[in-house]
Amino acid sequence: MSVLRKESFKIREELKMKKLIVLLLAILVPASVAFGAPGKPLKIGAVLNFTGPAAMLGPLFKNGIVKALEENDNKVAGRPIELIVEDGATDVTTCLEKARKLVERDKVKIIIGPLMGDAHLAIAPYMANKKVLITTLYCGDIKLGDYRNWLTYPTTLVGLTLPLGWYAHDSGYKTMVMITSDYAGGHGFMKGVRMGFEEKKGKVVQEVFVPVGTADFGPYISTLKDADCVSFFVPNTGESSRLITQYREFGVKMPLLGTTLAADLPQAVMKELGHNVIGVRGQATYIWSRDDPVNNQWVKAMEKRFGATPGGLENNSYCITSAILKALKATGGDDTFSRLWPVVVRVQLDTPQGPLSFTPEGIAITDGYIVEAKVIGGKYVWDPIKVYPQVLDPRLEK
Amino acid sequence: MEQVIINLLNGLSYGMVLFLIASGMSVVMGAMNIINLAHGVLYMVGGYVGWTIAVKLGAPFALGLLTGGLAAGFTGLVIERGFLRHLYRQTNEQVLLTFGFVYILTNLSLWVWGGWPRMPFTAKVLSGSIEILGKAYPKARLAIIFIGFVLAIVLWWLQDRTRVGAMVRAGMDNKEMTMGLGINLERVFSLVFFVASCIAGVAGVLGAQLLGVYNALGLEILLLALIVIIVGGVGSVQGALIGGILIGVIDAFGRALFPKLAMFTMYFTMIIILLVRPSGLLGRRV
Repeated sequence: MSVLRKESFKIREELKMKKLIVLLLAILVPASVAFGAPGKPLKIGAVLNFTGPAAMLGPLFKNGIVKALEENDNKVAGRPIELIVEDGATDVTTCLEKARKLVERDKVKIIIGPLMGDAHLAIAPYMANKKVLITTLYCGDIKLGDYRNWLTYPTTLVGLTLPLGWYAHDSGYKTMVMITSDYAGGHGFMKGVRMGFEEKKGKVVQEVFVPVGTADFGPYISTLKDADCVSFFVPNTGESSRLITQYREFGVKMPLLGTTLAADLPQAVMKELGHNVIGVRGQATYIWSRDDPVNNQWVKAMEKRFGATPGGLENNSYCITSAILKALKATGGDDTFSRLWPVVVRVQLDTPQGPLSFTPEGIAITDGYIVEAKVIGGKYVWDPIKVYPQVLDPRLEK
Repeated sequence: MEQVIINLLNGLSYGMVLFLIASGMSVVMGAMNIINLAHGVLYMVGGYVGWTIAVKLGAPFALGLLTGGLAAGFTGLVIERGFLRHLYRQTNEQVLLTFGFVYILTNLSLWVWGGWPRMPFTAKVLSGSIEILGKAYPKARLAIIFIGFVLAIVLWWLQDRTRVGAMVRAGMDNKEMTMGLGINLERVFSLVFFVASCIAGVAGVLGAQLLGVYNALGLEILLLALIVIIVGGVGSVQGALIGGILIGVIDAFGRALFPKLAMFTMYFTMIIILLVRPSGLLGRRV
């Protein structure tokens, strides 16, 4: 009888233990899924352009993201990071499809990119609805701040080009002609130039709108009025280089101020443009030759890793990824939007570009540089000639 | 007055590039009933090869022109001999096949030449500008106009004054009768396709003086070529010339006078021509 009782007791204790283990698992497993258990991969998506007119930019942005992840051993708070990169094909519809795929099939909660302003506006409502943290790669419209889920880096379209408008006036120019690519991004960029220039009492005497993808700028160049300078924004390397080449061919003497040239025209392209590009001035978000310990170390590391001196594009994706990783460290690897967003907009970082912080709307505050195309030591370079520190879109200050 | 002359020259130079790309495609459509959507990428291939020879290797521009044309020609010949000749009278299949080649050749060019666009380039003797009515005007554009007109005359002579041209025109009118007379139309058409592709390649190098070369160019230029063919008419070199010049000039003046409507001026022209004369200005009447 006592043997039977012992057996029965043993069986009951075993059952109790099993129930306890099941209960513990039932509590711990969902909790670890909800809060990102160490070991569970953290997915970060990226929509970059590897085909289409901006095909050359995707690999550069990707390099910046990859470097930031590698510096953190491809993990954060014990969670390995899985980077899922999709090709936006420089097309709004494709960007939207790929972004949806990342959210719905891959279940990502953080997306870096896309690049183009029209794509931002197209996917913004969907991303806000899905509560995904998403970033720009090279500025964004101020409206993105209203959604409160976008990190707009390095600043708004207007914030980026304000310094060029200021600079035009500071250089003694009183009148300006503007050449503007006729789409959302183009209007935004040139609005900043106009705001900065007119703020200092400069006068824009003419604004010429050119369709995206313009091949022959000749008809537009022949109608330009006389002014102290010409400022322009056209998207991508091809259009910028055609405009500059044709501008010079038509013998127009007015100084040229381009908005995003330092990113659009890297060294190899400048060399091909040759004398046509010398003397053109522009605005830049990043200067590789900036003498700063953080930047010097980063440039060396990028050159060693990818075999080429980095530019603004690699810097942009590197900085925004670094900011996100810093925020993820603070949340213990928790990538749920409600936890991550309030932390990421309070991130402050010393980046290769300079100090980085964000407004509550998620708009980055960074330094702006004015650069001039020169040949220094036999190399074509964008030489920094002026810095405007911690530029903020004035509409945010109200 | 200077503005009018300058814009006329702008229109003529752009129009000549359009004529060169459209002429080959138009003759192939008229003679062989083939809609070759890969014609635009042949233009791009010619441009890239011309760039490689003239810029990367530093050879004379004329050599770049020749090699660009031949590269496009042989690429076209491979497409025709290897694939298209099995799909005569199967229009849907031709369209799908040639569109497939657009993607293949575009991605091949991305692989070979990379994603960065190549800058406009020209011969040393054509760089710089000359003064026209007190305004500087690029020499390269004047060269495009001149070379375009010379090629137009050569093509017209080939089409209207040579035995091969007569065979092509006869084949367009009545293929069975022409073959019944013992003419090897298949060989003639292959030659037509080769020559048309060569001209596309030459256009690519000439056009690169204005536009440079980039791998989205194939599709962009194809659309323009189709507009020129619709306006000028299918199967006619003269039609492609008139269409090219008309579209080029209207586009240039449209951009100068109504920049906000610049996207639409070409299409307005095409719509008007379709309403008034559906076969095109010099096309064969339907």
